[in-house]
Amino acid sequence: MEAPLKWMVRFALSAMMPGSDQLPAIGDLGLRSYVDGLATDASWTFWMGTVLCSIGFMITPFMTIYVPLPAALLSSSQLDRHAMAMANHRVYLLRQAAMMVKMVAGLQWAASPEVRAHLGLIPYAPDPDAWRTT
Amino acid sequence: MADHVSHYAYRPKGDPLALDVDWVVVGSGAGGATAAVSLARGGASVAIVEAGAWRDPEHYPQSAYGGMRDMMADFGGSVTSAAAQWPIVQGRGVGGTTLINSAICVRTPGDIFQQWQREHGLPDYSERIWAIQDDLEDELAATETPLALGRSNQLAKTGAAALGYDNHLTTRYVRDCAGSGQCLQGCGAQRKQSLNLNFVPETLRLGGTVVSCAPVHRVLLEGTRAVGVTGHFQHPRTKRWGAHFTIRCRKGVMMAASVLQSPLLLLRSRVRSRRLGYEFRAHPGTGVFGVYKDIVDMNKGATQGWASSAFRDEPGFKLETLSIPPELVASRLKGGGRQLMERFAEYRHLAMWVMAVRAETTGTVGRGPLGPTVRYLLDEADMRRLRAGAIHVAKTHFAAGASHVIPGIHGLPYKLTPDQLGLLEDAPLQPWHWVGVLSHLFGGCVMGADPQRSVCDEQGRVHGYQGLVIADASQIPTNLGVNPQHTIMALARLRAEQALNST
Repeated sequence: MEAPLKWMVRFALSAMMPGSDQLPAIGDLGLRSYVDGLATDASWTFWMGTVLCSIGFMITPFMTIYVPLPAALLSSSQLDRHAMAMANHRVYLLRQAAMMVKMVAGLQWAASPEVRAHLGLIPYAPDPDAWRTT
Repeated sequence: MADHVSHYAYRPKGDPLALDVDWVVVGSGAGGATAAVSLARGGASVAIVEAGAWRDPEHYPQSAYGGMRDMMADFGGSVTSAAAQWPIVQGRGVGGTTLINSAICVRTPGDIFQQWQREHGLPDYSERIWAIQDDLEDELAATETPLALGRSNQLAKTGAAALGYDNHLTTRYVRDCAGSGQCLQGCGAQRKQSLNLNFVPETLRLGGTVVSCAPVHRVLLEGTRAVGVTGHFQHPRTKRWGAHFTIRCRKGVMMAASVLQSPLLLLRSRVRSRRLGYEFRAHPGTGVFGVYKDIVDMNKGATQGWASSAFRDEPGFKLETLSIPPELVASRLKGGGRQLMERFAEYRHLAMWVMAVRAETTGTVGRGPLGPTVRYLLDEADMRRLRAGAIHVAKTHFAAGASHVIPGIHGLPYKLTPDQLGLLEDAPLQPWHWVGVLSHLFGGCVMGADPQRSVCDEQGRVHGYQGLVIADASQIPTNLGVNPQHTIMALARLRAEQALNST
């Protein structure tokens, strides 16, 4: 069950941050290891929120662009319109779900050395992930 | 009993810990660390019990992801349970929220003491609190932010000067700010004086103990006397539960576990008080980006170097600069897909300034299936204040030379020009149209003379109990309208002084 959920999260993050002429796509920035790490690092509520919002992204094209298909079966341009419409939707919970997906995506995407270089920022050092043990 | 060791971190199951001290302080943030060091200076033996890990500057993450994982409660994912889900910002770890705030130092306004006297029957604390704040400013090197530190701060000063309202460079507990823009991730440059760097180590030097990675499950009570705390260690990464710990105290328990956790812990401990969890308050706020022709690079410089309290009394908000990391900007911009990418491309030209409402709305903190549940939804009067504040921020941006502002309000265009400010004045007043956040939390265990209307008395003692003292922001019964760290620390020191004098 875990693998399909992670795939769903990766799919939503990729669609929300597909890159542009100037900026790289999140899918090219180690997305698989990022989502694997997030599933371990995040609190249960944060991870489940991410999963539920990603599922929401998958199943709501019928509400956003009025296409009765899951997001995974949309064409590239439809998927982009879906991402845009969900983030601007009149239903608050859909907007919130889109915001959650954007935040989770942004945590990886904007921390990457490639994006930081574009922003004129030096790369982050690796997070030490350490604490006092004695 | 274990031999004296100054710090106990995570212990696996089967390796329980038992300690005996004079005072147990639950929490190590602004309230807990200050209370603990004040008790230790007074000669008491103290144990600080902190739910999170103890990280030194070499352990601090640089990324926002690392900050959320290592330094924030619930991975930064706490939100209000109401029709609008606004995030709640709280730190976790030795140092508490002082790890992740901007260390802004503002004295308690005089009108707050008058309000506490008038509405809550409290004595006039002003003289003693201000004297303590004098000392704290010396101890923690409170210093005005140099104007040179950050173009966003400079622009805000320019804009406010053009509009002619009072404003100032922030005074912060920062020694020689390096302008690294890393306040929210702990300040690896070691300039910000978060309390894990000073008061907690001093407590150890004075013979105290720190127990980290140790969420307290309940306060131990014998009748109506608090005699200790108990819980299980929790691994900071795996979240696995470890050994049991019990810390018994001869004199009492000081609660400083945060506005969300202190009421919850007392509820779990079956402390009887009708007002436990009530009178939750906050500074709800939102940010408005200004778009400038020239590069701003808001993440270079002091994170929050400028502020204005000119509108604290009427309409009731404060203004500040706030440089959020680029990782969080992405979610703050409207849109998705390629549209979002195009909008993000302007990042270097953006400056974010925020406003926070001196809100009258109250909410509750209660027990949920997975932790604290905050019910809080801004009423219309406070939403009008929020909107008025956003308009002031927008006007200040335009006065500083911004070509557009990005208000982030659903139903409004993505960007507004100066001649579209009227749209902002008509912005919807429902909280779910706004991207808001709750910072600076108050209440849940409020102080007051009347046990029917408050949880603790004028010395922070829980009504009807002995040896159980509230020493964090949960005792504050009103909205301060200014950054609260200075008030929280001064009240905590006052509580420690009162406790030392009464035992």
